[in-house]
Amino acid sequence: MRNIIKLSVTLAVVGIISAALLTGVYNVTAPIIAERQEAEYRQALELYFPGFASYDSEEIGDDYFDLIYDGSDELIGIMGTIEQQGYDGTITYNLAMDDSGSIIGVRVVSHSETPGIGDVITTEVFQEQFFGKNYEDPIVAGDDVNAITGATVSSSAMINSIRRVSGVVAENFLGVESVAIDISEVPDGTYQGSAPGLGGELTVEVEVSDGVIVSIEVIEHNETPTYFIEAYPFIPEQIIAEQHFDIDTQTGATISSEAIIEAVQNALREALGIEVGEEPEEEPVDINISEIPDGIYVGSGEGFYGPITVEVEVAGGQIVSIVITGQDETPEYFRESNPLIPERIIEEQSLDIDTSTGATFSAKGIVQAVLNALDSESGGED
Amino acid sequence: MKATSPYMQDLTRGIIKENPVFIALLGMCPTLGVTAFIVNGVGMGLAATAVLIASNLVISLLRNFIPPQVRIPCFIVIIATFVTIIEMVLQAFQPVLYEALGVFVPLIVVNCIILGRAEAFASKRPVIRSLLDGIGMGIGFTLALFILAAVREILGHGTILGPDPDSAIHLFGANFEPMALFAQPAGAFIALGLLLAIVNLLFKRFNIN
Amino acid sequence: MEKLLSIIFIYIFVENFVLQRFFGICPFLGVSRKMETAIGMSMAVVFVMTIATLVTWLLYNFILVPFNLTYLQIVTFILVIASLVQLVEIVLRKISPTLYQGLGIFLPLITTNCAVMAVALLAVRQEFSLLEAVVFAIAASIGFSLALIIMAGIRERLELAKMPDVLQGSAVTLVTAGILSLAFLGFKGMLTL
Repeated sequence: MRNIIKLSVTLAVVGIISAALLTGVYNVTAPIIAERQEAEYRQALELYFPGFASYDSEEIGDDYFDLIYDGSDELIGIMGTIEQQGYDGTITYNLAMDDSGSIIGVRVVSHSETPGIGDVITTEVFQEQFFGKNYEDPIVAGDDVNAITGATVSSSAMINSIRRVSGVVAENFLGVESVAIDISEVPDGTYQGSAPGLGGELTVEVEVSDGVIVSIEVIEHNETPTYFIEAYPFIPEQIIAEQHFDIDTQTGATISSEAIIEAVQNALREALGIEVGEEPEEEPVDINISEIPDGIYVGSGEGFYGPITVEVEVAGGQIVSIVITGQDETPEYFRESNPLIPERIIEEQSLDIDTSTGATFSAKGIVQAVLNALDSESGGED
Repeated sequence: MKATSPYMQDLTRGIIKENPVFIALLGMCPTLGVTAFIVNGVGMGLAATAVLIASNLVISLLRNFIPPQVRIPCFIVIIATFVTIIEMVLQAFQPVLYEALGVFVPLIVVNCIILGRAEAFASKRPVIRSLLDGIGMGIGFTLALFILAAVREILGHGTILGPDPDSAIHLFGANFEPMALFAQPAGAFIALGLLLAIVNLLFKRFNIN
Repeated sequence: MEKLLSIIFIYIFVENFVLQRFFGICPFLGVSRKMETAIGMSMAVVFVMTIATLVTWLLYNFILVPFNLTYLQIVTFILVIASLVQLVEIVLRKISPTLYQGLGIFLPLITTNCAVMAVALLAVRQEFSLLEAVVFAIAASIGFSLALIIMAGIRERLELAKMPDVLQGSAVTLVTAGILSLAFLGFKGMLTL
């Protein structure tokens, strides 16, 4: 009996000392931890909003937004904290926008994308393409921004999420009226609309009868079949059942699901005569090759990892050869654009060519380099 | 070797001859789990070392007060206390490392090295020797993690001092295409397996036993 | 229901505890030499992991959280697991001596199996509901068993294979585990929660 008491007392003493010690350490470290997390966030805010003095938090759906004010209580920008499903778990990121809704910063807080593949979403090259874009821009992969080859799921998830968030911000904070779709006003008929999915454009055909959506069919898509099965026909069925678009996309195929919803919305918007986000004008590439004197010109353009330099030979008003003299691109990807892109330029005798290869960044870099060579004739005639 | 004092032996035993990872194959979970980057590997090594030294010290001090019947629960509570302290300290002062190590920080509590040394050594030896043993084993563990992490980071990412882009040094230039396998779980197993084979080979060559 | 099924698939294949998350490596290397012991260990782990997760989840959400004591998580969880293992051992010996003979020797080893602690910690960190936490524990332990039993099957044949003696034992086991892990990498990204 005495033994049992002794054992229990020993255990109890050890337990109590341990609990007391931990409570002490906890009381010391807890405020430091809270302070540091706050300080870290403030530091990020200061980076994007140099004049900021205070902020207000607001929650919209699953997203958190901080409205940033300067010393005189003027709204100077908005910082969103967004969670988005990536390839392998949740990506949490901050999206910083100025008071006009233009994106000024993307900061990936945490992610678990595959190292060496999906983690390109943390690179500057990927993030910079969003800067200056706002809710009026399409923000569509392959249009005004590019997904990253080999990491399509991770990068498309980010692109589509940023597009969605910039819309949310415009609607809720910037007083941009979203033109709501009133299904009951849509005249009977069959309409087509499309939206970017994971693998490219996804097109749907929507039939409306008596102000009610009666059928939705996906007539064209390039989604991964295994994912697409999860979204179709599940998503259309839900839209038809509920007759609105605020439906649960928590399937294994969020991107495809959202693309279907957006495509249906676009179809109906067109039916109602509401303007769908305008196509961006491609910068005109105008160089009159026939006026360039014979010679060899050098120029450089920006690739994915650094400058691409080219040597362009012009003879008789024609580009006769394009030699790439320097580049830092990833070998596998670069192989896709070289020699394909120089060949296309020579064949068409124009820089307005299709750059959609498996390596869009490198391809555009080459075109830019050739343009740069021919544009600046003083650039280096041998 | 004859001339060395028992103190010296206590200190050096854990570093090579009885290295907890390469020889005793203990603490494999953190060894494999956090060694994608050198910073994380060494951070985990040092955190475990701190717990090991503290628990060896306290257990050795209390060895005459704790009845043998309840020694294991007592050891566990002592170790868990130090692990919690380390966790809170990391969270407060090394947040980046704390995030990177994730659930492996609380899992130090089930690291077999620590309970193993408490049971086999510290509960039977005087304070100084237990302390030296803890330091030696800790260095051995950290060293093993460093070697594995160096192999994996250099081959798997082509960097040292990553993943923070501000401190990362790209050893082979920015366009080096790393062997992503070594950054993956599969690469951890393969790299450690091959390291063990090399250690076996070296031990055989130099007749260490 | 959909979430429960995803949890099951994810933690058996996609996020296999041993091959992708590195939990429970010590028993994975230690008792995978023979198929018989591997099966015994697997059953013991499924048993203890499920009960441990159930108990720690209740403890965390009904005692630690309400009293603002979450910083005692590690101490309480490890104590619960250690006492649970003891309790299971005693009960098993009384109730089913045959089962005890099969599982008994593995029970003490489980206390320091980090997979058990990991599943208890992750169930709380991922904010699972009670049902989800238990399903998660079962799936994780089945994933552990799957890896252990596959490995035991390979190692029984490996014993007979000729190889350089420096590779024998743990070295070749780890490389084999690496190749297995590579195979499981094929499940990656198939499902996320």
